[in-house]
This record gives sequence, C-alpha cells and structure tokens, in this order.
Amino acid sequence: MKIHKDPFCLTVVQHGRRFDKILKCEETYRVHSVFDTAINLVSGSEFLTILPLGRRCGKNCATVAVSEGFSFFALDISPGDKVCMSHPFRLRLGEKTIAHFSCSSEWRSPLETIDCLPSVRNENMAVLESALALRCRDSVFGEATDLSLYGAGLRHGGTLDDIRRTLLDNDREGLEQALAKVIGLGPGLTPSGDDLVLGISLTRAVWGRPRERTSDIWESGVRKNLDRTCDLSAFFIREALEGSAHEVVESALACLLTSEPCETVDAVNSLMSVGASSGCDIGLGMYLALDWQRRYDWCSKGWS
Amino acid sequence: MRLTRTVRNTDKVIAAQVGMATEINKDAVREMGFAGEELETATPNDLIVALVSETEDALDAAEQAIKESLERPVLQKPGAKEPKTYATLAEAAALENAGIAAISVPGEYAAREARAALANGLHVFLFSDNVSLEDEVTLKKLGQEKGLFVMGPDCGTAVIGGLGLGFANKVKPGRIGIVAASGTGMQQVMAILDRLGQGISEAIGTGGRDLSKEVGGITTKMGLAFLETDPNTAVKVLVSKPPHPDVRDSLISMLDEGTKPAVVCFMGEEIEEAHKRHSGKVLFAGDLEEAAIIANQLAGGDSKGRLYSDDELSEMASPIAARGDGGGFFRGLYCGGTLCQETMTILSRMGIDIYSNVPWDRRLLLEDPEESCANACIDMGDDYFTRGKPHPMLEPGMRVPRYLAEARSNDVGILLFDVILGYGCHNNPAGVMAEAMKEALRIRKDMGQGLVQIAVLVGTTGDPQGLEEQEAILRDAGAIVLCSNRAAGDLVARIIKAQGGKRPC
Repeated sequence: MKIHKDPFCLTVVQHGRRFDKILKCEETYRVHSVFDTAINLVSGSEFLTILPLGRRCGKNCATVAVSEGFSFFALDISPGDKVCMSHPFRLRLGEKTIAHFSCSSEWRSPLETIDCLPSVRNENMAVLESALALRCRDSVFGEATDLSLYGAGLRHGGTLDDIRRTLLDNDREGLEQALAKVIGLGPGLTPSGDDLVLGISLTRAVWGRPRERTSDIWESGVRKNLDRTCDLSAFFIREALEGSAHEVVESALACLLTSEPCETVDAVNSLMSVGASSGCDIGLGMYLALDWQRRYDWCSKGWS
Repeated sequence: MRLTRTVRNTDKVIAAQVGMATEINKDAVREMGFAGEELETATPNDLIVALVSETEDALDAAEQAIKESLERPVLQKPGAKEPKTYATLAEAAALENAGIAAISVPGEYAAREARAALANGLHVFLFSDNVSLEDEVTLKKLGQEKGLFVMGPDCGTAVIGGLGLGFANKVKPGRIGIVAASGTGMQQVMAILDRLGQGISEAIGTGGRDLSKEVGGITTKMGLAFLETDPNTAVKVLVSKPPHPDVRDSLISMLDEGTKPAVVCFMGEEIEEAHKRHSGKVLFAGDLEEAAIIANQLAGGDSKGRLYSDDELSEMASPIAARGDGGGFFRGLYCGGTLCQETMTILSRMGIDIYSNVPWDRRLLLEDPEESCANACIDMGDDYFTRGKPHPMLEPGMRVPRYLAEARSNDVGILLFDVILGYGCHNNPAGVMAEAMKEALRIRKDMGQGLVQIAVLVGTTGDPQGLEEQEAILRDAGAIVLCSNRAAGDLVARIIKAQGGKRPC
C-alpha cells in the first residue's frame, strides 16, 4: 500500500495549453486568489485557473478530480504562495498541496471546429433571449435584457448604443470613450461591464477568425481601456479578444453558432449559471454582438 | 455581485456597493457621498465596500455579513486536541495497554520498526509495502516465537478487539472471525456480513504473500489457531488467492481438525474440485459474497440465497440490453485488487476473456497498462499506478482521468468501478466518482452514445462516510449500485452476452 497523507494530491484530469508554460518551468507563478471552487495563479499579467471537475476547463484552466462540494479553502493555500514544479508532473501549490498532471489530457476548444463564417440562427437567438429575460434581471444591464425592444442595448444611458454606433461609423475615438464607460463598471471580481465586453469580444474574435485582417478598432479600443479594471478581469478580456474563454462560455457560443436549439438550451443554461451575474453579462454581450450582426453586419465591421 | 445582493438585503441598509475599485465604481461610490484618501488611492485590484444605512446597528450587521462571506471557514475545531507524538517506538510501547504497533513507513525502514515493535512485546500491523520476502519470513518467525502476530507487510485491513486498523470498516461485534490475505476481500466479506446482520469477532490481515511457499502461512495459521480458541468466535472464514499447494493442504487439515465450522474462499479456485478433494467440515465458497452468506448461515443467521437473485439481475440487464446502452466493451477500474481479481474470475467462468494489468492468464496481460483493450479489468491500486502517487482508496481522483479516457472510447459500453468505505479511506469517494460519472455522461452525450455505469459499493452502515448517503450520491449520478462485487460481475456478464458476447482484442 502507498500512503501519501501529506501533501494533499489533486488529480488533474484536463488542462489547457497555457499550463504548458508552468509545466515546462518556463514561467514562475504564485497563487493569486483562492475561492471555494477556483484557485487562480498569476505570473505578471497572465493567469491560470484550477477548477473542480464539474466546472469544466479552458485554455488557461486545469480541471481536478474532487467531489462536488469540495472547498479549495480546505487546502490551506493562500494568495502569494509559491507555485513550482516539484517533479516533471507534480505542481506544488504552497506547502501542502500537489496537483498531479501525469494523467491529464489536453483540453480542446469547442470553438476550434468553427472554421468558416458562421451564421446566426433565429431559433438559437430566441433561446438566449429567453434565458436572459428570465435570469438576468439583477444584472447592472438588467434593463438591456428587455430584448423585446427594437434593437437590444438601446438603453442603459445610450452607452451600449454608442458602442454599436461608433463601431459602425468607424469612430475609433468615440468607441474608446463608450468603452471607457463600461469597462470596470459594476460589482464582482470581474465587473459586470467587463463581462459584457468579454462576451462581445469573443463573438467578434470568432467572427473575425477566418478573415485575413490585422487591425480591429474594437480590439484597440478595448485594450486601451483595460487599465481601468482589475488585472484578472483584464486578462480574461485579452483572452476573449484572441478568441478564447472558459469552456462554458466557448461552448455556449459554439452552440449558438452551429448547433440545434435543443443543444443550445443546455449550453446557454450552463452559461447563465456562471458566477452571480457574470454568465448573464457575458451572454448579454454575445446576444448584442449577434443581434447587431444580424441587423448591421456589425461583427464584420471595424476591421482593416 | 452575490455579496452586494446580500448586503443590500440587510435591514435598514439604504445603499451598498461592493466591487473592484475601478474608476467607474469609485465614481459610483463618490456619488454615494464618500470621499477620502483611501478611496482615491484604491486601485482596480482592491475590493471596495461602501455602505449607507439608517442606523449604526444596520451598518454593523452589514459589515458582519461581509466579513462572514469573505473569511475562510475555520478548518480546525476550537479546542480540538493535538494528537500526542512519541519520538521512538519504544517510548510509545511503554504506554500502559499498548498492544499493537501499526507501522506505515517506507518499506526500507519498515522491517527495522517491526523488529523494534516485536522486541517491545507488541503485535505488528505492517501497512507498508516494499518489505523484502526475506525480512517478512524473519519477522514472522520472530513473531511466532514470541507469540506475536505480524500482520503484513502490505496489510490493508484488520479489526482487532473492535479496533480498526488500516482501511477498516466499522463493524458490529459478532461471532464470525476472519483471516484474510486480502484487504478489500476482507472488507467485502465484512460489508456483506454487516448487511446480513452479522458482526465480527476478529478480522486478522496477513499480507498477500503469507500463503506463499516461503512464508508458509505463518500468520494465517496463527490467526486460525487464535480463532479456534477465541470464545467470541463461532465461525471461521479464510480468504486468500490460491495458496501454494503445500500450504493449502496444511491449512485445510488444520481447519478440518478444529472444532468450529469454517468457510474458505481461495479466489480463482474451482470449488467443485476443492470439494472433491476435501470432504471434511470445511466449506468452500466460489466468491466473496458466497463466503459471507455461508458464514452467516453457519453463525445461525437467516438462511438466504444470493444477495441478488437471478431474476433481479436479469431485470437489471434486460432494459439495458433493450436500449442498446451497454453495446461495446466492458471496462472495470478497481481500487481493490481482490475485487478486480474476483470480477475476472466470475467473467472467465462465464466464458468471457478479460484483459488486465494483473491477469490470471499471461495470455490476457495488457501490453500497456495505460491502454485497455477488448473487455478489461484494471487494478488501479497496483504498484504501476501508485508509484509516487496516492492509492485510489485514499484519493479516488487518481482513477478519474482513466475513467474519462475509457468513456471517450467509442467502443466502450460498460464502465464498472468500486467505491470502498471505511476508516482511512477518502471521506467522499462516491462524490468524486459521481463527478466523473456526470462528466462521462456529458462526453457520451456529445458522442451520441449511451453508457452503462455500475458501482460496487463496499461499506457498512457504521462507516464514517455514510453508506446510504454514498449510495444515494452514486444513484443520483446515474449509477447502477450493487453491494456485491460478485453480483456486479454477473450483471456485466449478462449485459455482454445480451449484446452478442465476447470479441477478440
């Protein structure tokens, strides 16, 4: 019998490509923050996240096999703790915890399969619309979820409409100013405004993927405003601009763009369950981007 | 957001803002009437909390709610006693009433500690593995001379005088005594006896090599002799892999000469052959469940057939076969080596070849333990998988990546796993496996295929994890849960046969 009571072992089931850097000891990380169901690691402005099995994976995530209800608080890991490889497959988190990567497989993005210009199906939009209407009343952008109004996002002091309009007008300065009113806005570790921008950014990135274009006034406008928010949230937005996000977010977008409505329901419901309001705000961002796309070919604009 | 909502719901709180100190959020706080250096110097990586309330009390209540939400849970109960530690084994042995030394140190040091324990007049429970056969023989002979048990090395389970050692189930005191060269085999027998209402007098582990020619069954014989004279024991049970023939004969003679009835389960042995060779008072069981059922009858318990009748198993198998969910190969992923062996034996008796990393037949050895082929059973507690990693009974998560890899294989239709409860085991093994099962179902749904998931739950009603709770967790996650490994093997065989039988690797 083998007994290893101490340190505590977390078995990693899947991990995203970004973990390669830490596994190959190319970058030094430390613990940034610990939550009940997430451990964030940081190196400069780069973040990695460790999540329990039920919370899925992502390019910057590792999924570990623990039971439902297991709290990472029980691991006695604190912000600032060292994170280092103690063996080719063992990542030591603080003094008492090891994450084993020897059995882990590489995570594949559900968005990888989208390699042509997607279309927006009305039925899938209806699924997202009803989920937002039902579950997102508490959001800072709650009133914008009254999507029965012509042209979603016309409310909220006109800011969301400014975002839509300035991009269509190729008004780089106006877009930056509009984004400045959203990025960093609202409660939560990732402010609500950031989540909304993340949803829009990811949708645009996927839309722009097949295009051979180099510059996007949306991307530059967002990047210019990222110092207005916290490091973790800014990192998530940067990732979205490059076309990646947590698996739940990517799956929802992939389903909205390519799947049957019955499959989209599950994926959208999972998205709505992310955080207290993050999932709703990200979903609203996706909805706005897709709705504006349908009406104004919005996701195809702003590129050069 | 959740925190903001909590605070806003506090009585007499007029306004609240809890968020990162971004410029926009700081503007909102300024609009609430706050100002000052702290606010101005806060960065987007700081959390800002602004509260406006009608009364001081409301402010205090809101502040308290925030503190409670942000503070970590207390990990150690206040007033909990620190366990007493001793610098040497001799110091601990000097304690009044000390009778057994439980040794769990790396193998290279284990023999030395065991010798020290024997020198101090202590029985030895040797959990450590990697102890040489030579050391094992020396230690057991030394123990025999002194009248002291050496249980192990690599001894997983024992219940001595009501005290559980290693991975031990909580059992009722009773009249059945067990000697076993297999930890999970002993646990399965104890768990079924508990379900049948029987208790245990003593359960003595011997270590897996005790019945080899070299060791000669020293501890097993001492254990059986002890049970023969033990006034609390009415029935003796012996569980092991097939012993060396010489050792086997001497053991059966010893049991035949005893005054108490005995049940023997030599896993993998053909019991008809065994009965032909011995017509004395020893009864032979073909599997662990049968050993427990016979022992129960001998101890005066209600006469009962199998825990799951043929009809019950057919009722479970039929709808699966009708749905076509179990179409594809079977893969068993075990923590318990003996349970893995038992499943292979049962399926082999039914004409189904099972590949494994620990096969009976070399022909069925997996070329690579990491890759299953055809119908296969893997002992995940084998040294290959536990080298430098925790045993899956301690950390069931070690098994999950393989479980999900099997689920991703589109030629797999049935997944079987064991969940072992008791002291020393993981505190929620069913919870870990339930998460894996849900993930497996999600994977299969994406693949457009069904999957049959069967759990063997080994535990007693007194086990600290909660037998009923663990069963409910597994059932809620979609498992067929059986408390007998024999029945699980039988069910798998029925599903395989209904789907067209075996296929070559």
